[in-house]
Amino acid sequence: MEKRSIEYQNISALRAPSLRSPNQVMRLERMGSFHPMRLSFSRQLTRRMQREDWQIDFPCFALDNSGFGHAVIRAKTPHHSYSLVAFCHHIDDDMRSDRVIAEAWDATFTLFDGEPSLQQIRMMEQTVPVQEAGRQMSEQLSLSRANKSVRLFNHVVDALADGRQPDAEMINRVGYVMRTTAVYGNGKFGIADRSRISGRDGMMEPFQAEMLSVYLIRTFSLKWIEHMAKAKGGDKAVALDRSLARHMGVGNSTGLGMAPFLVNHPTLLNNWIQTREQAIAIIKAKADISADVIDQIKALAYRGAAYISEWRVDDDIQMQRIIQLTAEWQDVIAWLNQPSHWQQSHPISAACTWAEDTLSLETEEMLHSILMEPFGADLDQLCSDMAAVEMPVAANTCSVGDMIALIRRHYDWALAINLNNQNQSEVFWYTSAAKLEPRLGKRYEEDGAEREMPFDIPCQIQSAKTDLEAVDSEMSIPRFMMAFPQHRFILNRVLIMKDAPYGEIRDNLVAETTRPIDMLRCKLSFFGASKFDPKSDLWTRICLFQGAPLIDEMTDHIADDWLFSALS
Amino acid sequence: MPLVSQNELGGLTEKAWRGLAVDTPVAWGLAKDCNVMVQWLASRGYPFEKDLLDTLSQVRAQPQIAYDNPFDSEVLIAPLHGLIMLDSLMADSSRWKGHIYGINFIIAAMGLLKDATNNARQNDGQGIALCQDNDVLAMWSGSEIQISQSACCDGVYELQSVTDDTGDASDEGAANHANNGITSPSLCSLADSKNDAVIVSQTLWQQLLDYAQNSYVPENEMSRHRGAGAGNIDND
Repeated sequence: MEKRSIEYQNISALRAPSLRSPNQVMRLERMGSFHPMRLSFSRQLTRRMQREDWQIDFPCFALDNSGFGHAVIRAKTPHHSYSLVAFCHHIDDDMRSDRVIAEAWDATFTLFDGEPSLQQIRMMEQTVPVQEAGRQMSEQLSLSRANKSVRLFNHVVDALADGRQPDAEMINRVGYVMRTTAVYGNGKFGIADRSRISGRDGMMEPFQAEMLSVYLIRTFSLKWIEHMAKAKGGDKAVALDRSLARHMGVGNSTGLGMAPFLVNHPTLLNNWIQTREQAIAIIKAKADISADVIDQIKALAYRGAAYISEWRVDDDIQMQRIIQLTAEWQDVIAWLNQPSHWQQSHPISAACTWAEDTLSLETEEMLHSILMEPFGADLDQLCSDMAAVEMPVAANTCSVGDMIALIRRHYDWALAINLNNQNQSEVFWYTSAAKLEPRLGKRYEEDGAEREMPFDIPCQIQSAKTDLEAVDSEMSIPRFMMAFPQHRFILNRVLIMKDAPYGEIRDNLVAETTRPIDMLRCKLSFFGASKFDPKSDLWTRICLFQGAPLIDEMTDHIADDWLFSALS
Repeated sequence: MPLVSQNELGGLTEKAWRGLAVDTPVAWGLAKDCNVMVQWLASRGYPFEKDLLDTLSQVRAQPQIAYDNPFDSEVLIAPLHGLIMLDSLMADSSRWKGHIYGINFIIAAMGLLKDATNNARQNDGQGIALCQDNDVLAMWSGSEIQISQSACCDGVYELQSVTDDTGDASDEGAANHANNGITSPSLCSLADSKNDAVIVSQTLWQQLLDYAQNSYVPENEMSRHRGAGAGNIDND
């Protein structure tokens, strides 16, 4: 903690005052345009792995020639060991589903805190493969499962078994041989609460256990395909080319389950977004930029062009955005290559202003990611601000009058919504009794709205304000809540906004026009996901750690230089 | 007996309160308060099961009491209203007397508010005393909480805000609030929190699961097909 406070003091000298406003940033359309960046959690992990020289090996690899069995992948840090325990299973093709309601998977995993004994592995062999249906141990830090990307998995195995490399274009298009369909943490199904590790070096920052799990799944998947190739091809089989291996990440099918997180953790969301905005403000405040950094930015822009050219999806809306991004990115490159632009004062601020005035959100936010990249010395220390200890907010110093003022300041967007329009309450968020899968329902067509999650923020705000305005403005808020307990939830959120202004999505999440995919993409950008591939408004495929260094590549040169990785 | 994580326990408790009565569900904010309070108690090894089971039964039998104002009814369901009540007393520097159900949750409320006010740097020696017949059974003052070794059970209690005018958070300062006219013979400090998993009784766990089930929407073909993404078969 002492180290963090010293870092905070250094940061305050750098912090620039002019962050973009929450009204501008916390709109779903913009949040759904975020890209991975150096502050992303997966980047934080690989930087730490490189800095601390983590050692990763396979103390156990007990898969048969059909690829079934179990393995242990160990990561040793200076302070702890963590072990990913993997179990591989046979499943019929008609059992393979990415949905929460699936009950069988090609592989199941758990991240164990330390090195499991044989007895513990035997216990986990009973519980991990059944995932939610099993009671897990408190030494387990994450619980996850993955399915093969069947086409690519089989293609890669067949090619390597035949003594040749797989098709690079296919690898690039898919990006992974395995995709996870859930990575649970923080106490789910009996695994460890986050508090077990939240004070630990390397685990303080958000989602580091989950990121480590996924990185080790990627490591396992590469070894798995080579094992299968060897079993099939014998001496004829070859190893996967390193550049191709590096371009394999881990896919993920992300559905609605990730969306409620952003609503349920406003302080955490604020810390993520505010840190990102601080980073942008810090680089904009730089009066001049060195020639080296300018060259880095230009090189990244060219890499970005290659990345965009490889980014192809079936979803019409996203493909239109990519087409526009492709065209506008040429303008970005032209702008960055114009010497006079870099000779002016505060050139990065000028670039951001130009982008905001000229470009689409998709392009503008990708440019932000590029511009942040060379400034690790200034920005990486901000990562320690991204965690949050979420606790109840005391309201005893707040009066009804104060609360009304807070609502006007932070929820003017909610007050402006006409709730008489049925379109503004078209959908409802709920938990299905089927494996507790989060779902979205149509309020006026389906049953269940009486059990909805409290995501109708504008409705709650307007209702609370009506009741607040009907009582004495000097009344204390706790006393008001005693009289109106139905407003406790929303008023707590308003109080949180005082110190966490980026904690609320400033759009109506129950409106007909809501696209949950925007919420998913925002969170996934903080994970560091790339190749965003929406399949509908409700779910998407993405890729994590594509381009990330392999376990024996954690050198200065490669370990932290994989933003917008492209194969071409 | 199930071994559960603290997050599981809190989350399921919250859902149980919500699922208690679909037509008059416990308000989200109160259910969330109970989530954090039960985790606070569980992490410190304080008893909570009986309080939780009893108050769940009470509210199930009379859902309206989750909405009744304890300042009017003189009845406090501590797992639901404990946090707001203490916050309210601090706001108004006042006191309340009445019947408290789920008394251990008052301790949790003290602990959580202490952390909240310290975090916000709002606390200047303020706090709350839980008293019975002028005996202090628990005292929160400034950054300290102390509780009596005497067993606390549901009954008539008094809650009052305390202000240590000197800002003295020492044992002596906490024990001698002459301006409040109360005595506190034997108080000891709060237990430290632990990150361990929690053992709960099968009775409680099953009861929470049963009540929580009512907070989920039953599945039908329409919801199965269009309520979420991804296909039922993904072989690409």
